[in-house]
Amino acid sequence: MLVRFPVSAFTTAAALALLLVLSGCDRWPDDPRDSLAAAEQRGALRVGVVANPPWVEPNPPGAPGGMESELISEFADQLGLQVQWHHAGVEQQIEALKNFDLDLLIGGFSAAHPWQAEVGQTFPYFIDNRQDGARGKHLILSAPGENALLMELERFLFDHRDPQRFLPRLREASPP
Amino acid sequence: MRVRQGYRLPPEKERLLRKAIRLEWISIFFVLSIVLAMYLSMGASQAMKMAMLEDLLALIPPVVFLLAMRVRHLPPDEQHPYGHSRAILLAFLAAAAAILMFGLFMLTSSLGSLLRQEHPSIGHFQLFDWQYPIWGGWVMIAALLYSLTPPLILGRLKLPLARALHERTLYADANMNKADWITSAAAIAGVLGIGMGFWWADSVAAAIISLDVLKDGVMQLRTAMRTLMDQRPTDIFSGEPLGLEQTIAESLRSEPDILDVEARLREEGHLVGGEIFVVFAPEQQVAHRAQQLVAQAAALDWRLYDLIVMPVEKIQR
Repeated sequence: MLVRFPVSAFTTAAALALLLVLSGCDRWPDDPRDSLAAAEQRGALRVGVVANPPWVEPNPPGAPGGMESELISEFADQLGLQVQWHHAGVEQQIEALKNFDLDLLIGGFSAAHPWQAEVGQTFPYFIDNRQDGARGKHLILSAPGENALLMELERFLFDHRDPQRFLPRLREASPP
Repeated sequence: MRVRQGYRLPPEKERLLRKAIRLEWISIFFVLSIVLAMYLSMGASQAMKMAMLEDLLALIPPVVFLLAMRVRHLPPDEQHPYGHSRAILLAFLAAAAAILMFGLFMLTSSLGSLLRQEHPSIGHFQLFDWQYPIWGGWVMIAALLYSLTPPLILGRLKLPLARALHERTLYADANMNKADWITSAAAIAGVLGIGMGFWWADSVAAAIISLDVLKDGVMQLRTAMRTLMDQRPTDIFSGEPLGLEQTIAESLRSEPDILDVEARLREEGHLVGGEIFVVFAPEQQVAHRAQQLVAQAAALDWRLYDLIVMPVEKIQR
């Protein structure tokens, strides 16, 4: 039986539209609120920190210590950016992230965090097998829908998700 | 108690029916595989979730149709003197109402996320705990492209069978299949829109999809209600009367011993039953003739079943 629906016309139109779309963008996927471009212009990433040793150990007004803080510093270095560290309570930080006043938020967050629908998050870059389920999956929160920034950070995390980097210090901080 | 005689489809219709049943099993297989592909790729996208749920709804007509086939074969008995052909229409009606409700729910939830300005995040593709260096949106688009083709082809194949078998459930299913590609295309546009940096593209696509679900729900509900309400036999494509009443009247009126004749017919699922009112010429063997006339009328169309000839004194015109 012959399918008479104009599939070919539809696919051609779709392919043309796709070409048009791809040629018009220098970033794919793009940020709706231009977080990455703004950070490059500013010369700095705005990162919120929430105390959660050994992941994040705030040290205001200086740069915080902890494994996640170091990870973010390396990420910013790779992009040739400084980091503006912002200190506040977790609720204020989530609010700031939702309002695009922050680019990223660190605090040893896991895949079980309660703001899934409100903010963006990376894939789990480290899985702590000593914790059960989602609690052991560590990730970094990002501004909602800022997909260019998210993809950039995840590309960095692909090369830095070596468990040996985190495990010894984690054992040291909380012996079983 | 006098129960109806069981009905047997003509052999060539029986063959078509087997083909339709096979197509519905194939449909169920493809719908399940599509839902699985969508589930594995959907991530946090609203439109993907809606498209997946809509595909899940596409299971309802084939399942109802296949269940109907099982019940329909049961012969009439003491408890069900008119047979079982309508039991399944109740399920169809309930399913149609569910689809309608679901469309409303989808519409409000996607409009809600537009109002709350939810910005969907799509990062690298993740399958359970594994990550892949490819944007999740591309995988969603691949799944959507897969979900686009099978319903399109299956819908086209089902339409002629629905007409030949006078199956409204099958017809509604074929139409739902045919419209499915709009859903997938809208979801693809939504994902591409996110890639271009339009956070609202996804929710707008989801809203469009929900309108399509609403349309499906209304169509199925009307189909189910019509079939349950003993409507005059009509063509399942155009909704025009089939004109079986006139066909019967004309055929019987040419008999010499019949002064006047009128028929009243109703749809019972895929079959047509009803009464024929006849004014016989005096001094006829009414009972014998009535049985002959039923046989003559029933031979006019394969759907005609369990007709009654009612001798009357006069037909009001």
